[in-house]
Amino acid sequence: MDLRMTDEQRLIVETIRRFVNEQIIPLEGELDPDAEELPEEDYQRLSTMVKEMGFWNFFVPAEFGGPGLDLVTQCLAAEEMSQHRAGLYAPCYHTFGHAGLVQLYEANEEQRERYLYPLLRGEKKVFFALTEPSGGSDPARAIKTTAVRDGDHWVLNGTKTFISGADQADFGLVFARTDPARGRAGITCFIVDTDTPGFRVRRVIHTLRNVHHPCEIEFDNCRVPHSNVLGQVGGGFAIANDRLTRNRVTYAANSLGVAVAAQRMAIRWAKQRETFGDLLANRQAIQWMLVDNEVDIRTSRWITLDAASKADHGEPFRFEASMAKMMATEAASRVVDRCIQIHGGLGVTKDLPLERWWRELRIRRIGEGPTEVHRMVIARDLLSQG
Amino acid sequence: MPIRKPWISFDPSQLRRLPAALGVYELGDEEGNVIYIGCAGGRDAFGLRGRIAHHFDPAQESNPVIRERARLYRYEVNSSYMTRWSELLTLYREEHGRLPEGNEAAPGELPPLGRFHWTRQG
Repeated sequence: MDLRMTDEQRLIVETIRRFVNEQIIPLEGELDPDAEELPEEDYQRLSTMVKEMGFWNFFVPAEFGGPGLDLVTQCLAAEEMSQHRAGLYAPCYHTFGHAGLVQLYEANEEQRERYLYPLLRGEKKVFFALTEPSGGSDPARAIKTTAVRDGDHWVLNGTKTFISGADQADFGLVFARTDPARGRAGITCFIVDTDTPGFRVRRVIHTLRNVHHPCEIEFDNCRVPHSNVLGQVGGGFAIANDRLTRNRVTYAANSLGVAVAAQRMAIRWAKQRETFGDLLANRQAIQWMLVDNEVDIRTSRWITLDAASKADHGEPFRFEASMAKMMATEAASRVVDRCIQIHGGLGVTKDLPLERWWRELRIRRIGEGPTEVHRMVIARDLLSQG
Repeated sequence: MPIRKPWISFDPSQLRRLPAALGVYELGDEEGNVIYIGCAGGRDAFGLRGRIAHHFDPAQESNPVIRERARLYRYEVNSSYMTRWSELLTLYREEHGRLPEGNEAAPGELPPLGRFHWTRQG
């Protein structure tokens, strides 16, 4: 088993690292500490630079115009792209293009023309609506939104909550129950245009995160054409689940990147800050925190890359993806928390990115499946062996 | 929902009572019409206090709508200031079909805006 990067991977990592350090971080000195977008002229300039580098739509498969990189390389890149203040929810301020929603890769050609390709060109925005007031971690049971067939249309009724970007989207992927008797086989995915009568954004939900805010949305006799069913009727759960599993691996790598950046800041600070006549770096209490950080970072990295490698080799990786998501988000939270402690009062100010990372990582332990649900997945697989 | 607080007449002697905190605010004309919705973010030296003082200082304020018509203000301390700012502007636009005049005069300052379907009845 070779754990070294290939020459191509090393080149990609070094290029992105230089881009983040030379192009992104200097701009953040002028932006609000909670900003989620660059000024338009900066976005255009940097996305043009990314296109010239051949990295545009970095996470998109080759068949849809992206570079079609394997998941290990995507993880190595994701770890680099998040190493700045907005890196968790706006890595490089989206200057590497639009991954879209991976579920849309299941779309038929007509749907791709209307929704996927405009999304990848940055002409349209999308939301993903799975979670409901009755829950999000167990969609097979929690989904109460109904879709009833009426001729060439389906009529949707229900409420979805914690739907990020719904107020700014042109369309959404909405999971609704089409057959109450069939459990997970009774869930269907619909593409819903946000100008459809009966679709409403009811409110913004304010959270710890100050960007990419979630909304509560409502469907009130919202008529969606049958041609907007994504995949098969009753096949919505599989669409949601299969692609989400793959996403969890890059989600872990992205979380890990923030931990790496925080650790780098803490080491630099410990080597320059003096207390009681000596550097923080010479205090065992600080040294041990740095060591614990490094163990957390490296453990998360290898678990994440193991999951990615299994996916790339066509092996089952659900178990590993859950472990990577759980480990990386929990570990990154611990690392950033320790780094705040090392920085003292400065660590909780908006002068440094640590407080933003700390708030946003708290959400990461819940988003994309809470830690406890991933423990369930891992335990189920462990106990089913032998 | 909008800021549900009474308007305050600007009085320079009361500035020190304003919180130097993150948050959002509205400026009103003398009839109590909203003419500007703003935000005190992480780069503002004295938070809401600094932002509101800036608007009522003719030597600093360059927005003509605010300079000529701002008489009242109201504010809300809010650490989710970016999201709340976007929400207030979006709500105003849903209700009036346009942004407040002071914001229209400074389009480069706007956060990402969305679309809601909101009524005063909630």
